[in-house]
Amino acid sequence: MIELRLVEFFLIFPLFVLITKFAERKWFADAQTRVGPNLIGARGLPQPAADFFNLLLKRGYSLGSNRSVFLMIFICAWSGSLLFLSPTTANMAVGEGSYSLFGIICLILFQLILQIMLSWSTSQEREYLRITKSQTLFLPAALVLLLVVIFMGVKAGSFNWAGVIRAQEGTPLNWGIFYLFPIGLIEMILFSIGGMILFRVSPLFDFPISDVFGGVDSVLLGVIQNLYFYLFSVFMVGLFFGGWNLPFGFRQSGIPGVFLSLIELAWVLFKSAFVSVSIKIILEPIAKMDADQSLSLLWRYAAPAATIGLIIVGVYQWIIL
Amino acid sequence: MKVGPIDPRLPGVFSVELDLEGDWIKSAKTNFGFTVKGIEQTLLNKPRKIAPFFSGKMDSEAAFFYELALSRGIESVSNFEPNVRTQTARLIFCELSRVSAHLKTIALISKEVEINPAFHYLMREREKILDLFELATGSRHSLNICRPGGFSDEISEGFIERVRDLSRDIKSHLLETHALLSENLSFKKRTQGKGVVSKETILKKDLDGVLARSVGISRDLRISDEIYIKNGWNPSVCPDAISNKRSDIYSRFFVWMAEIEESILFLEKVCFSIPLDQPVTQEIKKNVSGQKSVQIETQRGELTLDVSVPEEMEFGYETSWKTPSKKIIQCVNEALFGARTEDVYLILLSLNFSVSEVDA
Repeated sequence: MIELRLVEFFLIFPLFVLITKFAERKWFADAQTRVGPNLIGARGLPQPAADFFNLLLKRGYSLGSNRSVFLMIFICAWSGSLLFLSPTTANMAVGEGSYSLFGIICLILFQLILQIMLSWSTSQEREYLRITKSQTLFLPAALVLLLVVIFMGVKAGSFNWAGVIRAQEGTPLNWGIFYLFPIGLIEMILFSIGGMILFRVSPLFDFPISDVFGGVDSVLLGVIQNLYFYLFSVFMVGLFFGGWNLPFGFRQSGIPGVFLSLIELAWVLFKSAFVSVSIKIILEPIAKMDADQSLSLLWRYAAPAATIGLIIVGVYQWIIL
Repeated sequence: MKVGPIDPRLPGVFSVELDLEGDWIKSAKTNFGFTVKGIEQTLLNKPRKIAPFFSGKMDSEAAFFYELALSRGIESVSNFEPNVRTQTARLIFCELSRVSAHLKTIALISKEVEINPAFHYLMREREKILDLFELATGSRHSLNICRPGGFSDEISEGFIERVRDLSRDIKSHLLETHALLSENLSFKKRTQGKGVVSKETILKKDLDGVLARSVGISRDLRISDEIYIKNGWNPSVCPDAISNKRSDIYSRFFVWMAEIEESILFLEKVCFSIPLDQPVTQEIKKNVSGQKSVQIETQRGELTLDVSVPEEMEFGYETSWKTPSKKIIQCVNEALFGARTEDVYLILLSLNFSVSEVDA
């Protein structure tokens, strides 16, 4: 299924990300009674792509000249590997790996290493300080994500994606979100909190308000931001929303393998888009937390809650077995 | 650590040198003067007819106040009193400028704390005001409409009606902003107790404007303004809810919101009472030399202008501007003291000073 992976990587995901970015810019433009992107192509649809490649070659304002280099590393390595580890179809090779579920944590650590490299590369003291500070948030946020991932693994009795998603087969009531209600729901919220704090504090996404003035950073990073957001939603769908499991008995209907994989991919994309938009809408009116608030939320509430959830599911599974 | 001078998150071209202890700010020193315009010198050398245009360059955010200050100064030297229609139209422009500037400040603060809906809604309202300016003057920022004696041109047809409609719109949309920000717990947590300026400092340094009002000092030139008194528009510039001993970002936000509401009330009243049968394009024909001082309440605070009209017509006007921003920057150090580095931009935005005014 490597061909499907390549189609997904080079065509479907970038297209989806650019379309969502276009929709977002149009929406914001409408709110400000502006026209929005309209210069390139039909109705300005390829505008985010054109801006992205155009601005990639320019110098960013805030992080110095090395930013573009690191963005390239980020795009090529991080998002690529994230995509190849994302659970989008049943036939992917990585899904059957013994501990593929922990790929998420590996990727977060990879992002941390990238950030450290970024902090070394910058010539500005305040950027160094900002990046260093965000690294302190990585530990509790990654801990919360790890605890939630272990929770799902213990629940499914397997630490690979295929096992976790297979455990959610059948009706939507078998989805991770409804497991031992409301514990599954709480775990989903904790996963979102951990992921969003990583997402919002990361210097790669913590861009300045320059888009008020049509700056470089926001458009450039906005596209990457959408990519990250969307891939994070794919992980959430895999853990809590039944992954690629098709409704209405599609799997048993005798559809050929490739088409079935495409339908599964479309189903995951649809659910991920829904999750992604829902989280964005919830986050919009909430102010970005400062470092103290984030640390307090993670250490005082999220990490203990995730630990308690893990203990509960462990005891429950032990009693059942 | 140095922040600026070229940084899109800063409210202008200036730099702040921060003395840090870990991530905490111990002291801050601001450096201005990167974009000196030499406006006083320009006003002295340029022809008198185009002087208000250059005075408007003092602050692009609310250029009308500066055009008005110069015009009123020259009028008071000449003992000329504009007719009621002119005065009322000027008041409309002043209040629209005030609302527009406050909306932008709150929008930028919302953006800084990443409450995007508030940012977009507030900027949308501001765009409508700028549209009105464009309708009336052909320009959105440097209006170049106010002249000694009146206006450079007659007010556009339909302008007053549109101001009335817009006031109604903004009034209803302000409730949404209150819902998004005023009672938003996350916004309160990010803004309360940050960027603090004590009441003692405000009294000691004779600060005015929003900073003074946010600690309950009811200081506003509009209260004693003849036009306001004559027409019975009594501004309640200091909201009753505020009796703080210190001014933080949240209390300043509260005052901005209250001022916008107050200005909208004015606009509604004024639009119904503006006389229709008087010209606004009067001119001061007689050249009178002399010196006068005028004061105007801008959106940032009290603006004082000493204007001197020389006898020789080849010279422009001798002016000396005491802008509110020059006072506000005196408390940057106190506002930043004890803050974290990530809040620097937020605090500087909330102090609402104009680098353009300081560098003028």
